[in-house]
Amino acid sequence: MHKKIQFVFYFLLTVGFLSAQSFKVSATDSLPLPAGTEGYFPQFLPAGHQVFFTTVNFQGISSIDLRTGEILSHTNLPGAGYHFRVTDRELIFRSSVYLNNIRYFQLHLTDLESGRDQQLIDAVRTLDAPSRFGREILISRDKKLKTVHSSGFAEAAETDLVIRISNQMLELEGNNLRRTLQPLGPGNYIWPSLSPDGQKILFTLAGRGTFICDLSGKILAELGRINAPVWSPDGQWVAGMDDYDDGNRYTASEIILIRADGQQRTVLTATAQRIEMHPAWDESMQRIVFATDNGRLFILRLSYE
Amino acid sequence: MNKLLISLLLLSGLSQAQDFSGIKICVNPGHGGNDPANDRYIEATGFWESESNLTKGLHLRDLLESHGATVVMTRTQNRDADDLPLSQVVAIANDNNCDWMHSIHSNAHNANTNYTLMLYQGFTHNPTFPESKTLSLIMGSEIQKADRTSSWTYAGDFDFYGTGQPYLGVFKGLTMPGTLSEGSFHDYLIESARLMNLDYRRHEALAIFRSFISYYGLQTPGNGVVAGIIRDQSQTVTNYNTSLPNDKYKPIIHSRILLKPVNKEYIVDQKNNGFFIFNDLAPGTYKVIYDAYAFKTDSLQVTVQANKSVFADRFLVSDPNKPPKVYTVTPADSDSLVVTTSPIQITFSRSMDKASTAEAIRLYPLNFGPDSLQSFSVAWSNYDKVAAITPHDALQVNQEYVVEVGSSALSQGLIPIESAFSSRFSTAHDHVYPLITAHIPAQNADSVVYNAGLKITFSHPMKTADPAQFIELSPAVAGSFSWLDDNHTLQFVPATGWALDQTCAVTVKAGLKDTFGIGLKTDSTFSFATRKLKNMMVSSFLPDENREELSVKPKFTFIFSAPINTSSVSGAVQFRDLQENYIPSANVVFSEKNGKGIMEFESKNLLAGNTDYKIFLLPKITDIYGLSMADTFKYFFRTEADQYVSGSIVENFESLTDWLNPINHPLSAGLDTLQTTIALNSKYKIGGSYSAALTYAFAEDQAVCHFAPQDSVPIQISDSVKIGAWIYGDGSAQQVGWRFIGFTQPVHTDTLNWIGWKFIDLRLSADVFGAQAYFSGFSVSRANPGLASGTIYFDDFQTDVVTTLPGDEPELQIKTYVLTQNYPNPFNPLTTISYEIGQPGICKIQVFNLLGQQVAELANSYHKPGLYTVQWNGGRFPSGIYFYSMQINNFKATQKMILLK
Repeated sequence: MHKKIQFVFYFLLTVGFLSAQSFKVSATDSLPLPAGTEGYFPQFLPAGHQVFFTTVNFQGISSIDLRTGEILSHTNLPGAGYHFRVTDRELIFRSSVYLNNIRYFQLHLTDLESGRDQQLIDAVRTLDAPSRFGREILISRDKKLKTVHSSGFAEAAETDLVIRISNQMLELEGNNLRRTLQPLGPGNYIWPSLSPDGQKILFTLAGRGTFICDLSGKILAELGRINAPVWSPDGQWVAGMDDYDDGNRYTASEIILIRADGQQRTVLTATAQRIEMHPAWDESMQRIVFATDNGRLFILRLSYE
Repeated sequence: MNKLLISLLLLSGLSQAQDFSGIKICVNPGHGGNDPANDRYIEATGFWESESNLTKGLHLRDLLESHGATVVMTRTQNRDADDLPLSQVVAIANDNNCDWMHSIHSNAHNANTNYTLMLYQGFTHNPTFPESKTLSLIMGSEIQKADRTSSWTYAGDFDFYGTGQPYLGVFKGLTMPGTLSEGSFHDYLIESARLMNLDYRRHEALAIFRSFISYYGLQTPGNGVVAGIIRDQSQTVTNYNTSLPNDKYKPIIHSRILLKPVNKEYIVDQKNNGFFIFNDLAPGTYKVIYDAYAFKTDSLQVTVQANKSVFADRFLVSDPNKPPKVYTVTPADSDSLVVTTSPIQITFSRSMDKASTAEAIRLYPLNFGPDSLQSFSVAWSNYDKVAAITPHDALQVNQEYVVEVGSSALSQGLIPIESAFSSRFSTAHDHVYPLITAHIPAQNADSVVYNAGLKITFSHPMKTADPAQFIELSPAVAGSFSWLDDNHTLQFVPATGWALDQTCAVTVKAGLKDTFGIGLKTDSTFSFATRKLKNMMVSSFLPDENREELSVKPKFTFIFSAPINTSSVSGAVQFRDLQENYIPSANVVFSEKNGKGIMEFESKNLLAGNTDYKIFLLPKITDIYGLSMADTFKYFFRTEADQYVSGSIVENFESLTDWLNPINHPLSAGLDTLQTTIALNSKYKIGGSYSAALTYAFAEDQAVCHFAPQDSVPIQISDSVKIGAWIYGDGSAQQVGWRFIGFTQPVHTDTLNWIGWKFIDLRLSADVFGAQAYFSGFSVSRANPGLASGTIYFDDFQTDVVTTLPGDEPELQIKTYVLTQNYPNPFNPLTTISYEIGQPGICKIQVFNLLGQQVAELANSYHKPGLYTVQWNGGRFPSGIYFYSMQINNFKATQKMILLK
C-alpha cells in the first residue's frame, strides 16, 4: 500500500533554498510506517529522497523511501540510532554491547547500496557518536580527530572541528585545539552543535534555555525555551521542540523555529492531539521531518516569505 | 575466535574492579522546583517529593564518588530552574555518555499503601534493556530492606501503565539502561513523616548504592549500619497499614539514642517518625540505649554485619514523671579552640520551665571561679527543649569555661532536673576580630561624584552606638551615619557633598566594636579622589579628526565621564542638518568601560554628500549618579564631497562560499587562528541582507590578514576604470589594502581611521594593468601595534564606479555667523570653541580675562564659509572667568567660559 504513495514534494528539492525572512507550513505529510513499526529521531538522506529513523531507544536504523514508500532495515544493533550519520552512500553509527553489565561501543559503516557492514572499531569503553563537519564524518580516537571512510580513518583537516559534552561542559576539539567552555558558568550543557560555517556553537543549558556562542564561548544570541535544537543548513535558523511534561510523561510538544539571532520565533505545529518532537532539516530547507511521542513520522513542507 | 570476542575477553578484567572507577552514572532526583504542576506535596507533613528526591540523589552521588564512580547529576538544587523538562534529563545522560541513568522518586496512591516499586522501560518480561530489569531486581529488594515497606515489586512501563508502548518520559530516548525507583509512598502519612528525616532519605540512598555495588560485582564496603524507630508502646495511631504492624504505635520524638561502646549519640527529631541511625560501624556487637524524655530507659544488643543495615526498633514504656536531663551541650565537653563568639546551646530531654532553667544556667571561666559569671541572654526553641545562650560579650581568650545547669532547673511539669549538669570547653588563643570586608568608594577610586555616599561593610554585626567617633574623614565633611544589613554596613551620607577635585581619606578606628564587644584590631584607612566637576561631561568623541569630510554613513561614539542613565537619553540627542531636518539613527548602543559611559550610533540612511550636520546632546542626559551636563554639547561635521553614485556589483557579500577563510590564506601571517574569522552579518549592511564581517586578531607584531576570493576576480579596463567597495571601518588605525595578481604589495591602502561605512574607491589604469586586472582580495596589515584585534565589514564590491567629482561640490548653505559655547566648560586646561561662517571674510577669535585684557588670539585670517573649531589651552593662566569673542565683517559675538584647575 505504501508504495503507491507519491511524494510530489520530493521534486521541490531541485529548487535551491531561499534566504528566508520567515517560514510558513504549506502542508504536513504523514509518513506511512507499517503496523507495529515506530519511528523516532528521523534524519533526511542528504539527497533528500529517503528518511532514516530509529526506535525510541536507538535500537537499529531503518529508512523509508519518499518516492516509493519502501522501508529498509539497515541494522538492528543496539544504540545504532543515536546520532547516526548518513551520507548519500554510507551510514556511519555507533552501537552498544554489554559484557558483565558493562557497556562497550563499536563503530560501524554500512554501504547503502550494497548493504555491506564494516565494523571499524571493536568494543571500546569510550567512543563518542560520530560527528559531521561540512561533508566530513568525524570521530575522535587517541586524542586525534579523524575522518571516517569505508577504507578506514584519515587525519582530519586542521580546520575540522567537533563539539561535544565532556564532564557536563562544552568541549571543542580540532587537531590543533581542545577547549572546554562554560559560557554561562557551571551547569548541565546539552545538545551542542556547530553552525554550518563552523563559527558558532548552539547549545542548551539545562534549566536556563538555548543559546548561541562563538568558539571562544562569548554569547551571541539567547534563543529561549527550545529543546533538541538543530541548525538550518544555511545557519540562519534553529529548529527545535517546545516540550512539556507532568514529571512522568510528555503532555505536549510543538515544533518551533527561531531565527539564529533569537529575534523571531515561529510555531510550526499547533496541534493539541499530537506531541511533535525532534525535528531535522533537509538540505533544501524546504522540509522538516519530525517524530511524535508515539513514534509516528511527519514531514512539514515549508514556504518562505 | 572473532575480533569482537577477543576484545571482550581482554576487557573483561574490568568487571573484577574493586570500585566504580571508569563507570559513569547519571543520577536524576525526580521532579524539581516545588512546582505543584509536576511535583508532589503533602501538606500534613510539609513534604515535597522534589526535595526528598534531591536529598537521596546528593547522598547517592557522594557515596558513588567516594567509591570511584563518575556521577552526573541532572540537578543539585531545587530552584524553579531545576524543574527540568524530561527531554533535558535524557539529554544530560546521553550527551555525557553515562553507563546508567537512575531516577529517584517516591510514590503516592491512597494514603495507606506503602511498598517499593521499580520501573524500567519495556514490557515487564521483555525490557528494552535487559540490564534494567537485572538491576531493578536487586534494587527493589535493597530499598525495601532499608525503608522496610510492606513489599517490593517491579514492572516495565509498557505493562505498568497499560499502554503497550513507551510511557515514562525519563526513559524515552535513553541510549543506556535506566531505572526508576519509587522507594516508598509519601502520601502514607506515617511514611511521609519518616521521609521528612534527612537521614532516613540517606539510608534509602545507601540501599541504592548497595544495589549498584552488587550489580557491577564490586567489592562490598566493610562497615555496616544500625538504624531503628522508637515508639510508645501504649499509644496507637489510626490509618496505619496493617501490613506494617509496627506503624500502629506512635513514634517517640526528641529522644536520645546512645550506642556503646563507641559512644555515639543520635537525637531523634521532632517530626513524628522516631527514626535514628548510626552509620559506618565496624562489624561486631553493640549496645543501643534508648533514653526518651518521658519513658523508661531501655537497651538492646545488636550485631552489625558488613554492608548491611541491622534494625534496633524499640517500644518504650511510659514514665511521665521521669526527671528532665541535659541531652547535649554545644560546644561539647572537652572541646578546645572554641571561637570566643561561639553560641552555646543546651538540649534538654523535656520541655523546660524557662524561668527556673535560665536561672540555673551558669557560664564562667574556671580560673576565675563561679563568682565571675558571664552574663548572657537565653532564647528557647523546639518546644522549650533547646536553650541558645548568647553571651553579652565575647568570651575571654585561652580560658577553660564551665557550663552548668544547676539542680534548681525544672521541667514544664515542675519536675526537677535529674541531676546538676556540668561541661567544660576551652576557648581559642585569640579572638576572631571583625574586619572591613568591603567599602564604597573602593581604595583609590577616581572621579567619585561629589554627593556619593560612603558604605563600609564589616564581617560581623557591629555595635551601633555613635559610630561617628570611630570614623575620621579627611578633609572633614558633615553628614549623617546609619546602619544597614543587620548592622553589618555603616553608611555615611555627606550633607553638602565632598570637596571637588580632592583626595579624601577615610579612617575607621580600632575602637569600633562588634556586637560581641570585640573591636577592630587596627585602624584602617582608604582613600579616593573626587571629581573636578559636579556635572557630567562628554570627555571624548569619535570621529574627532577630519570632521570636514566624514563618510556618508558614519558611526559616532560619545564617551561620557560616567556611565549614562540610558532612560535619560530619550529625546536628548538631536541629530539634524543645518536646516533642522531630523536625521534618523540606527544601531544605538550604550555601554560602559573603565567607569566611563559610552553611547554609539549611526545614521540610519546614507547622508547627503558635502553637507553640514550637527549632533546636539542636551543637558537632559544624566549619568547613573544623577548628574547632568552643564550645557548642550554640540558636535558639527560635514560629509565628504566625492560621493558614490553608481557601479556594477561584482560581489554583494550575500554568501561567503566563494571566499577563503583568512586563516587558510597562504599569505596570511601572524594571526590568532582561533579568533580570526569571516562571517555573514545582517546587522551592518549596505545592500541586500548581509555584509561580510572580517574579524582579525593579530598574534604577532608583523601580521597580515588576507580576505580573498577563492578565485581572483577579473576586471575589464578600457582606458581606466574606477572600482570600489563599502568598508565599515573600526577606527583601529590598521591598514586595509587592495591586492591584485602580479603585485606583491597592495596597489592601494587606507588607514582605518573611520568608524562606520565609507565608500573606498580607486582608479585602475590600463597603463598599469593592461586590458584586464585580477583582484585577489583585501588585506588588513598591522600598522597599529597597540591594537591586536578588530572587526571590519565589506559590502557591495563593484566596478565601473561613478562618483561625484570634487569640483561638483554644492555651495555651502550657511548664511549666518554663529559662535557656540565652548566645550567642555568649565575646563582644565583644554577647551574647544566651534564657530560657523556664513559669508567669507577676515575672522578674529580672541580670549580676554575679567579685566578686559586680551590673553590669547586664536584666529585672525581669511575664512571661507564653513564650520571651524579652535582649541585654547589655559594651562598657563589662573583659574577664573574668561571671555572669548568672534569678529567678522559686521558680526561680533562674545561668550563666557570658566577655567577651573
